Amino acid sequence: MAEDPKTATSPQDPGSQEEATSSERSESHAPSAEAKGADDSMRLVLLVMIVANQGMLDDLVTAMLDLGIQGTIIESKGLMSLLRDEMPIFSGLAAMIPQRTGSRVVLSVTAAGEIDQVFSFLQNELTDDERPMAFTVPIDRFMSGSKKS
Amino acid sequence: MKVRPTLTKLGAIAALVAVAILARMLAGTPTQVELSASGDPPSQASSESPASEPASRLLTDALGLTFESPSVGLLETGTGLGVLLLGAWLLGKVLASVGFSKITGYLVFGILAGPGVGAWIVGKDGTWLLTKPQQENLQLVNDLAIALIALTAGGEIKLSFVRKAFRSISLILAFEFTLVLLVVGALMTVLLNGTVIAEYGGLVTVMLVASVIAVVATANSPAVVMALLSETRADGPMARTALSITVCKDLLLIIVFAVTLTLASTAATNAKQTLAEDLPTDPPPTLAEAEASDELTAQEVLLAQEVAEELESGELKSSSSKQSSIASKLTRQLGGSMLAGVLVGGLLAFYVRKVRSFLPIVLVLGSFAVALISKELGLKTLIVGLTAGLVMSNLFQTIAEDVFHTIEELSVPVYALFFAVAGTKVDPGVLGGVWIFVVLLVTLRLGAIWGGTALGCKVSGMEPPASRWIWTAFVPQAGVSLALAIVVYEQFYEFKFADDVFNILLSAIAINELIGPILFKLGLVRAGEVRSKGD
Amino acid sequence: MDIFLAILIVIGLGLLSSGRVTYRLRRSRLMVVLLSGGWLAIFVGMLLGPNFFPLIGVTEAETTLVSPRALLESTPLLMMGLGWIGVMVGLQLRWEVVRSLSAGIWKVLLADASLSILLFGGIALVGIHLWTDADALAPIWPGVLLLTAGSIGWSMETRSLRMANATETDARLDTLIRATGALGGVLAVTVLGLGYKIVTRDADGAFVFDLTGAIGRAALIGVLAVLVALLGRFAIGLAGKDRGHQLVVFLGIVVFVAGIATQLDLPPVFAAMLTGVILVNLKGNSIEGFEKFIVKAEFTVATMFALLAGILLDPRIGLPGLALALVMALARILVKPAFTRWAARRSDEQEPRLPDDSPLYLGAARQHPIFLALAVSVVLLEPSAYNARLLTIVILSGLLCELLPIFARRAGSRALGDENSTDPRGAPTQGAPA
Repeated sequence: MAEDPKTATSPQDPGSQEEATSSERSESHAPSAEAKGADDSMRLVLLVMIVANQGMLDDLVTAMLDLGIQGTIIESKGLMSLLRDEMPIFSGLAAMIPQRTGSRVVLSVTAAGEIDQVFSFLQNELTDDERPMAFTVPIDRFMSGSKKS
Repeated sequence: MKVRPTLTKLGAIAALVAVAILARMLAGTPTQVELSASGDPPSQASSESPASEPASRLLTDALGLTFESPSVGLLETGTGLGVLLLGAWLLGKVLASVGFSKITGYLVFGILAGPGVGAWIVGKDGTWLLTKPQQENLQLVNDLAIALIALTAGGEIKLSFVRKAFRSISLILAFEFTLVLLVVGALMTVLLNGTVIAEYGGLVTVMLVASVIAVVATANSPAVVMALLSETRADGPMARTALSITVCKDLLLIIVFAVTLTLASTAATNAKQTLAEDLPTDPPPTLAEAEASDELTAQEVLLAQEVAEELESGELKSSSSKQSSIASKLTRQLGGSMLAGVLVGGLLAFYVRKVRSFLPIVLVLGSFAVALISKELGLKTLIVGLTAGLVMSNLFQTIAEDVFHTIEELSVPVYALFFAVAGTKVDPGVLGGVWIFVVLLVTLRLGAIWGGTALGCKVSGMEPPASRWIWTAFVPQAGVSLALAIVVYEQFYEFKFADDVFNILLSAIAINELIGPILFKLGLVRAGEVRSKGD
Repeated sequence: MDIFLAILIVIGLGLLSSGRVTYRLRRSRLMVVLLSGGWLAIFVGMLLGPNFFPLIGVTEAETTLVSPRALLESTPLLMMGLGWIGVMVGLQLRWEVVRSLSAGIWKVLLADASLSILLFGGIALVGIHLWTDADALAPIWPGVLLLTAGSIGWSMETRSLRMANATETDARLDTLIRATGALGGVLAVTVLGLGYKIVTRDADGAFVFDLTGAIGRAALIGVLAVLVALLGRFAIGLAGKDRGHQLVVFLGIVVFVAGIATQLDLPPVFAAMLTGVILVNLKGNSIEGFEKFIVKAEFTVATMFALLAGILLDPRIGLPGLALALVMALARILVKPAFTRWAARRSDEQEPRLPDDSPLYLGAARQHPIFLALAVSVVLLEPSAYNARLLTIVILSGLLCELLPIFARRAGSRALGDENSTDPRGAPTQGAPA
């Protein structure tokens, strides 16, 4: 699966080697990313996914494990659902239990080369209803206690 | 195949039906003490069923003021809607798992739930799933469905394809249309030749009346084509050509039907007037059912009636001036419908570009609006919807993606309900005396469709396998044909042959409605254009 | 044609009201009250309906855009809306949630229910008797029951009453008020649903008491709700993740249960609520999609019903009717907050004690929005002038109850020197930016 990025494992600071122009050339050019060679696919990016559909969180986590991507999951609440909870009309009880906040934010720092697989999972394996909002942000510097791959 | 899930689904259907019937039994027979004075005259679509309109009662409230209670039929409609929606959907799933199309499931459930079959199973006064008045109330949903289906069908037609395949589209259409018209027309001429109309009107009149019926037989259902294409996600030369032909045929049909109907009714009325014999002069059957029933009816009825009125008042004697008045009416109607369609399409595109939220509900509301506008202005819902879809998908391509994707989602409930409601109109009771003619009509029509299409394919040089199977698309009949049949009946109800002819047409349509989707699905599979197994 | 137009207008406006703009408007405290109580929509409904312009003396022009008659033609759709509300109310009663509620909440609920039934039952009985001059209980029963049942509980909306400097006890009180309000709504639906059929019409259309019939129907509705819920659960599982199929099932369940209830001449809210409760507590695959689908439409459905109420109401209630509305409102305002404070402080045993004085108690004075929906459902089942005027009384007393807490709150906050509270954006601490 993810052989290409695993060949060279030093995600030290690849982002700074690149010019600003190349980091703008983002992951939307999916097929060309691998052809670009290791440099480009090794850039670190921050992957953010906002999961509104709780049902698919399980699938998503499984998929991330399959792809070997680590991440952090944060409980969150959409603006509209906050408004709805604040102004109940007919049903207000359900909003009172804390574990059902509504959405989750998945954060993950990973190599750009692996993003394509995540996005193709989102594109192909999920229905429109399930698909989370997902985007990546280029990372200039990265530091961590434990080494990520 | 998978026996247990299928059995579970059937069990669920049985439970659903049981709950609904139980509820109806417990609701009790409404005590119809006082019929409301302002009630409409009982509607009577076919002579078979002297429909007992539900009485809305005059009641007194605590203040001593009287009010009219909502009619039982109206209050029961919700259950009917729910049963049809869930039951049709479940049966669709069951039949899909054994290789039929889901539409067949929807239809079969509708037929089983309908008052016709109900009367057959539990007797005329027994408690069954749907009642006549309920069925009439369900028409509201039907109008909405037609607008949505038309919108989708229009959206599926890519002008670039039509330009490319123009030759085969027009040739197949011409051959198929003509052959069916000729064959069925001949059959009906033979059939009608022994009736009153022949005695007084002569062969020309008979042929004219026969041709009106033949026009009804040429119709095939755009809804079935659309529904099957979306269910099987079929794409290819056969699917596209079939859809384009169907849509074009609808346009053609409206014109041909109006013209032949006017000619035939003139001839028949003249024949009648030469009779000293007094024909029954009951009030014509109410238009309520026909009006609400389908795409073409309301306007067709209006048109035909206006013409008939003009004839009766003797204003129009020369046929040329009559023709021109029909022509101008048709142009106005078609042109107006298309204009309205362009407007609606543009508005929807604008909405999608600017706002984009609540798309499903907006589309449903938009379809409501289309139905409303069409009714109000005497336009054709089908054409307004088709044009709107066409405009959107061809002029605003990028935007249209979203809209048609949303319609895809909506289409499941819409199709389930539309076909279930269509099914409820089937009444096996009328088949009795006329079955031989029905079988003849269905078989000959099938043969003519096959022959005409084959000829058209040969001449236009369409390639197999599409050319070998495309005829199956023209078999299914549903709403359009039914609506036309009702118009025909209303035009000729005074004549003795009308009841029989109407029953033959109804039964034939019902059979085509049932076998059509099965054949068409088979055709699509054989032509290799099916992309998903449907489930 | 009329039906189409009526539906188009009602749904269209309902939809419009749930746009982002209205969400923005709802940030202001006054608008919260106006919008979530549905008052604005009721007013618009009145403008659309036949009653407003004659009321202000304009009679010549053709001013009725949506006639009640045309609306009643679409009763099946409206019943579906009521079913929707019922399912929504029922779905909140997930067992985990119900179990986690503190004993204090249940005690306050019980106290409020007893008080409401006694106090407002009495007021309604006497008031309606004086108003209608009826000599028997049977004809006025549905009205008495409606006014009694609807008085249980209160509006769950507390944001407009919260203080900027809320303490932990305030938060606890907030929860208590909201939860009790929610459960009060459930009770209101139940009381009306169970009691409505105690009086039926016999073959001649006269009112008769029929207690056994009512019990039978209640049992029946229970059985039907269980069956529909089981069926629904199965169908939801079968629909899987496909949006189109989900739509069939979701709509089908709501229409079906509402339809059956209507057919049995019962307010559809109750049957639908039972179905919702059972559905959410059945074991099996997730019905989260269904819940979301139902709850998402809350504001739209509420607005639609407020519009409907405005169109259907009949303002000719006369002086006795006016007096009844006034007395109901006054009783609510004077008794409910004080009683609730007493009940809450008595039944909540946690330390620190609930505050002695909090604007949140005033929330108990405000009618539960379900009251309006129930009143509309009664009108839909029997579109009589009596019911349409009852609707007016419900609206009027609801409006009066709504206004008082606002003004009291304004006066109160000024006295406290709490300048923040009148700031439209004086949002609670929850909405801190990320």
